[in-house]
Amino acid sequence: MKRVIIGENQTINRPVCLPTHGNLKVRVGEMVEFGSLIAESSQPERFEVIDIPSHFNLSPEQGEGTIKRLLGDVIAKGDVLAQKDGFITQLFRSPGDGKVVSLRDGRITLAIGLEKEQVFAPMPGVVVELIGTRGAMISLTGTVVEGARGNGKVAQGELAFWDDLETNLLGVPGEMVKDKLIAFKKFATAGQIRRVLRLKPAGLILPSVSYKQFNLVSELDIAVISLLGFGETNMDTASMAMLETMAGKTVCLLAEESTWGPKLSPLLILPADKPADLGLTRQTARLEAGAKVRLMGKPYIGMVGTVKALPKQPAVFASGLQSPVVELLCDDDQVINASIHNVELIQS
Amino acid sequence: MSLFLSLNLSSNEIHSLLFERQAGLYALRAQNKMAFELDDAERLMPAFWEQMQALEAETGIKILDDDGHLAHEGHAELTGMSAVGFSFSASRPVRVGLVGISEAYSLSSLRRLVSLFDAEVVLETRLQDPLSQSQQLEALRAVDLDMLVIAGGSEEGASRALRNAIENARLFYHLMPKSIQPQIVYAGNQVLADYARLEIEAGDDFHLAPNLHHNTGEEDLSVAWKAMLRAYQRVRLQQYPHLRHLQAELKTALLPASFAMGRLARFIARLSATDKAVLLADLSDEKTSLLFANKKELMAISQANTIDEALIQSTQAYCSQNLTTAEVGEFLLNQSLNPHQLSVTISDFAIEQAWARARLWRALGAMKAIYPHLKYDGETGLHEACDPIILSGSAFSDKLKAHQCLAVALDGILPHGISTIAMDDNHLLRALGTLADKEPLLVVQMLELDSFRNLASVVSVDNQNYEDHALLDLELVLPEDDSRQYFQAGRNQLCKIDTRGIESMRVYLAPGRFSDVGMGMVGLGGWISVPNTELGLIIDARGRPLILPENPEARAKSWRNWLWDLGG
Repeated sequence: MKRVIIGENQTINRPVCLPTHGNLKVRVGEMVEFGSLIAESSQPERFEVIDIPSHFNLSPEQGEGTIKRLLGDVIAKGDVLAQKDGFITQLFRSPGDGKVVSLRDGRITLAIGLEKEQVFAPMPGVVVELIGTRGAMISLTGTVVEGARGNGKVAQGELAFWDDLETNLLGVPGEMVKDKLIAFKKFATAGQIRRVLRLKPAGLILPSVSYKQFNLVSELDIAVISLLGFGETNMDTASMAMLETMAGKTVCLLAEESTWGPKLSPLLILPADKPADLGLTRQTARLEAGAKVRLMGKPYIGMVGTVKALPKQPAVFASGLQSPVVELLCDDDQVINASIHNVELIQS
Repeated sequence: MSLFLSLNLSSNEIHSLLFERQAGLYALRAQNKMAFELDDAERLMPAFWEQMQALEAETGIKILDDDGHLAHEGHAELTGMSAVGFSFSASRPVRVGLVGISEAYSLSSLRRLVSLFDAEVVLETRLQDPLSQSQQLEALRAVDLDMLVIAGGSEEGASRALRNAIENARLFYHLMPKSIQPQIVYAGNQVLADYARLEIEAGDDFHLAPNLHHNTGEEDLSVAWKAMLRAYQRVRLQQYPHLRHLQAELKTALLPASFAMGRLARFIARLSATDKAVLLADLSDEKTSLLFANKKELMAISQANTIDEALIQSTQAYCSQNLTTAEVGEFLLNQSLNPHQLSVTISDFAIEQAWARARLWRALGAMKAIYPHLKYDGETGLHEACDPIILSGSAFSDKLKAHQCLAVALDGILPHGISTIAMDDNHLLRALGTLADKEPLLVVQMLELDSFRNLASVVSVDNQNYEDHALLDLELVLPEDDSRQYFQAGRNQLCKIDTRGIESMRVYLAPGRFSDVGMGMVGLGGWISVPNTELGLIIDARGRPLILPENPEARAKSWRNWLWDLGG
């Protein structure tokens, strides 16, 4: 059974990892802020193999004798790597700062330059676990809305609703959007998205993304999250209620992809003022009468309801497919039977 | 009594089959499927134990000992497992780099070799290309590889380029940061094999295989399978460290599911009395795998179910409802987010069936790209005679009815000649493939037991003379009273002749002068035996390529009509 987190006082544990091993910059128990450095790794900017015998027109054996460096030597740009004595002495100098990493048959392999890869905290929180030398697990309690798809980026900013800003007949002033997270209550058209983007928001929260907008949204360099996936759907009532409590406050938008380990769900999170609890008394949502669920797939995508009953008899749908069902009382007082495969349990 | 267990792990399911041998006869005793998330490390062993307990409850046979461990043969008190098979079918690919001397003799062979091992080729280096050693090294650095496979060169041939590649492999292995410790497989010039092992210094991460090409120049990929399997297992155990615990419990090697199915495909092809090939098509929630085997070779392709523009458009073209690209694209993208979502509307279900056709079409195209000698064309279909074609995977068995499975297979593959199409509802092929080397008799007996659901016998009629309208005459001889029935198949028709309940029926095919029914020559007919199948005898006289109207509404109607002809 698929679960979606939409609720207050939710504890989120987020792994923040390098794709490779590196050096940790945090300790267990340390408080981190959005953007704090968690881990970094250094690697050569490039490798260069220099074939000394062919430069000096020598055999490999003769070439080896001209090399003036040993394996592991640290060298600076311009340092002599090899020297061929003669009437006119010929020198071969290092093309950059680096290190000799291999010497074979007269060939010198240099690791040149240094390149750093770093990972930063996508949200404030406490480091609860170190993950080898790759990174750390960060924990945070707050109000959380889980999305269906993100574009791989993260952002932090004050949350504002575009629908509220757009009511201003004189146009939306740039400062009301710049560096903020802008949420749409209704399906956002491509025109609306372009208008918002011109005002340079920090991130976008969309109810859904249409097929035509898919490429536009995927390529944006700001964080974007789609709450319900793909289509032209308005925001569901459960997410809307949570987002309204976040309006005007600083929230984190985690739409990043996992570089290592399990897949991560995109999240919108408002840190709670109180410290994180251990969650010992919290109950995991179960599919039973009274449970709150959200629907997936046509024709009820995004509808939110409460489970009335779990009929024993499976139902046959218009497609001819048969499935166990849940009987739901929806927010608009409709009672529907939905396939058990098309409901997400809301963990609140 | 002896017991045999086969277990498969996918990203979201653990599936076990328990076989039993009593008095020399083998039978599938029980099976259990359980949903779980492979990424959830803590859930794996509890899920396994729950599943074993479920098998115990169903069979009344004690499988776990008092300490809760799986009992193996030789256990003091319990029967124990005589053999255990363990396969893996999650879609996360093994990211592979290929290094070969030339396109024709090394890289093309390497692509074929890795196609059985869930590989995604992310780097290809042709040593004949004018790339400097620095450029080759940079290319290795730019990708995150799980496995590097090196091949090429002949025993008496030049070795300088290969030596440089080996040196690069050493630098790659020791110096470059990677997400997991990469595996190096060497299947090149054997004169350099020891040099490669000593130079790369990768210990257990180095896997040596014989040269893929014999001295005669003939390619034999099977010589490298053992090394590839070792490397595959080490990659998977690093990607999912929690699998080590399960593997220790099962005491057996981890195989790619496609490799296990490939074993069976080869086995069935060798058993066949004719020269026809075997095609296995597995369409799971995560990926599409095709295995094609004839008496000479095995071809394989395994593709993750990625959604791209070309796939969306081909899905739209196959769809039996007139839908826009956006409608199709949105459904497929949502399906990739929630693979278990049920299609409750007619249009969604039509897209889902069309998507299955498009996946087959795309996979066959990809197979053709790495096996250029495969007689396949995207428009005219698979020209290799295949019998049987066996379908498996959740896309078939969980949702589609028999006639829908058949329609998907016929439209996606476009077979030629005479074929039997069967369903492997229980993933028996995969399970038997994991046990084939340990208990060959189990495989032989299970295949003889009619373990598959025979969907239909299909005769595909191809006729390029468009003035011909009656393509095939049929004479059916009913076994009870030797009475005869006569049918005629016309151009662009899909005819279903109900043979349910008739154990074996003889049918005479009398094709028109320009019709090819797969008897070896255009216009040649003959007698065939039609076994008892769920849908009967299908005459596919739609021709190759299928003639479809340009108009989207009319095209969708054609698909609907053909589906209707097969059963509604």
